[in-house]
Amino acid sequence: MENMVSKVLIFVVIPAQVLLGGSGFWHPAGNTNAIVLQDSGKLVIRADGSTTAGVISKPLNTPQNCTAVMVEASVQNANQRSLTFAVFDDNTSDCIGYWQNPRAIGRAITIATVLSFSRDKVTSIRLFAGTHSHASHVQILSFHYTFLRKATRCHNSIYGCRIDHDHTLRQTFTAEGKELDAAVILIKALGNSFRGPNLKVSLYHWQDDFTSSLQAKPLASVIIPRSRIISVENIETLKEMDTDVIATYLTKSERKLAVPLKSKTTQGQRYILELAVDNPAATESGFLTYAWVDKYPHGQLFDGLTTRGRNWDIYMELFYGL
Amino acid sequence: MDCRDTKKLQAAHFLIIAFFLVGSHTVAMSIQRDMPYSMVWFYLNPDEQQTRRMLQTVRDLGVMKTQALIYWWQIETLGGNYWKQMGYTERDIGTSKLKALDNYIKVSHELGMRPALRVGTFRVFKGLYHPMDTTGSVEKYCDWLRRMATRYKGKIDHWVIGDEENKRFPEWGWTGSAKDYMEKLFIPASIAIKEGDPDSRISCTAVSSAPATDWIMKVIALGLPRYGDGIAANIGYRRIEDLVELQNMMRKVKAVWPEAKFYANGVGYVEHAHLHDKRQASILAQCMFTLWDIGWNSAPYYVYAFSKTKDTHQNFGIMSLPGQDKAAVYSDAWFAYQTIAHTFYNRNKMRQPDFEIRLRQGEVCATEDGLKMRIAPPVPVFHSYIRNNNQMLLYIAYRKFREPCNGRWDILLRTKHWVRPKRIPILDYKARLAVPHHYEGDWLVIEKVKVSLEPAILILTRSGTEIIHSQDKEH
Repeated sequence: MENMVSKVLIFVVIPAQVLLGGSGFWHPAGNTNAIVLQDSGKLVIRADGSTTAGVISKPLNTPQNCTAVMVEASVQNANQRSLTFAVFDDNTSDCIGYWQNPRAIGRAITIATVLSFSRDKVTSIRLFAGTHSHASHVQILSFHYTFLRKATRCHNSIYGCRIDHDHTLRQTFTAEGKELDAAVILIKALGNSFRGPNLKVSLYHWQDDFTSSLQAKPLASVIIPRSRIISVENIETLKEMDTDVIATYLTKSERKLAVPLKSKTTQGQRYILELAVDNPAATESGFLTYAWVDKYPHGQLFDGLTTRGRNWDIYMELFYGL
Repeated sequence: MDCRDTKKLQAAHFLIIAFFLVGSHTVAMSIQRDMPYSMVWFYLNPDEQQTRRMLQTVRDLGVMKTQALIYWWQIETLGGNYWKQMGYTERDIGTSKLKALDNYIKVSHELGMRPALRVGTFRVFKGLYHPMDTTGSVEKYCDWLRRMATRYKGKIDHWVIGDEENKRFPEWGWTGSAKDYMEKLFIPASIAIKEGDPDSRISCTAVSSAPATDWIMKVIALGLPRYGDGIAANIGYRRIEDLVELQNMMRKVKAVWPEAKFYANGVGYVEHAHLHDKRQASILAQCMFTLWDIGWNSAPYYVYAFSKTKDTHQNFGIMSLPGQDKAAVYSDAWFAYQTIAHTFYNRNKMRQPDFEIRLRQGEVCATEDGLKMRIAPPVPVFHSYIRNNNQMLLYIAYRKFREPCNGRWDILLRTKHWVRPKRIPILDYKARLAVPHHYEGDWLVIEKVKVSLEPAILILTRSGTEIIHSQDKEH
């Protein structure tokens, strides 16, 4: 067991912000027989049957107003929902944040997810990485976390908005902090889950108008591979459904997607969150995000450079650094 | 007659009395049950036997209301043959349609159900209430409403005037404003219906973009409480996943109009994929339970029989209707709805337990510094109710329709008075399955309840109470 613990420490490869990997940072959790550490420092779960296994961190004191954690990790070989990240309130031992991968992951990719806390005023947490109640052969290559404060959240956005070579969506918003670390949107891929453009999310500082704003270099620009976004055709229960419908109530299969932005912002100033495809020449189906009327009072949705007729807003959650 | 004959006779009398007692008890219980559960009914049929055959399946579902859609031009053709171009046959229109409506209302009452009517307005014929009345005047439409209200006096649970008239239709001069709706449609229609049946209950249109709180508050300010009895909204399951806006609207309405009823032309809209579609069953169960819990008054699930919508090709149905030589086919969603309808009713007669109840994640994944770290997705929806002081119901589920998740939870009840926890399986409301439990001091701990999209429903009995279930099952 001791040997295992010391090996677990190796897998944490953190480039910056919070130094993980110090002695005693991670402890094995759950079915320890299913945890394998390779000399390279990777954490590997080997469980053919349903199990809970992974590592749990030492207590981490949270900054004031911390209400979420963003986890960025390099992972591979994870069947759908076989990778779990969780957050525990160290004072009560309750699990207060939880995430499982909505899509299978094959070769190594870096993923980001935001785990919102289910309660406020949490002073100390522990992190969990591994699998929960699933068979799993996941490999976790690196792990990085950031404390966040949840700001904007929209309710009940269920109207589909297409993102493709003809539609670039731009949501204006007003910053509520000094660093916008992550945006969470609702998204699903239309059509083939692998063939087609990727999703490009960019952040711009509002200048005087759209033209000048978009001519400036974006504060952040993130490409989300199409393979990470769940597709309509991946869902068995959607087989009978017509997937050609544009902008309607196709409300199955979309998932929340966290986009790490990590951009300095000025509180009270206006910004643009742009959702586009990475290849404007690609004519294949793009994506669907979700919107509704008047969900966000301090901004508005534009399709290209025009509004959708009424004051629409996309579903978004915005998280700021602490 | 010897002693044995007397005993046989007594036994026979007992059986006959028992039969009637049980039978009448069933009907009486049903009639007394206060519940929002309803079903959108698109199946008006001039054949009374077929009507009874179909409606009986709704009665078996445990739902006490249905809601049919009727248009003036369907009931009265005014000598026109527009209906032929629409693909209608003589069986679907005019006097035949009226006979179908008569059947629907008559058979519903015979089965102990209350039919409601949504009356269509001008949307099919682009601003005209009837294609044969090109004036577009509301007066003649109101005359028809008055005739209908008179014909069915005392037999309609409630009327909903139109559907989604808060939308704009500028091509025929309809602004969708609350003022236009009230002045040009609702007030005259309501007056006409009340002239036909003074005790009728009437709702404004079921709003599009529900909850459309601003629009609803405007019609209330414009006199809805004076002319009507409630508001209506079409509520998709995504509105129920995140209740903030719906409950906010209810709070605002009740603050200015405490007697307001909450109706709908359709709720749920959960896509059907196959007969054993657990997702549809689970979400439908959660929707119907939630609307009951928050105090919605009439929630007709959209829609009963398998079919696809014309525009989006979505199938929201939960069963296939029976015919003369065809049995009904029921999906898991139908059985799930049945379990909710037969388990959760008479909300106002239930009370909250007066002892402490706690939830605890049921799976320990590590022990750190003496603390057991318990893992499960946080924040399931949990409710507890006591009915008649002899039955406690617990409901727990993850109301995350987009991102299904599973976890095990312990439910801790600080009581010695409530015992024998059993689970009511979502697809069989009569069954009772034993669940593991133990005591920790004063606490009854129901162990590792599986919590998921599918609601877990538990029932406990009061110590000293013996309840006999028809299909008790043990693990």
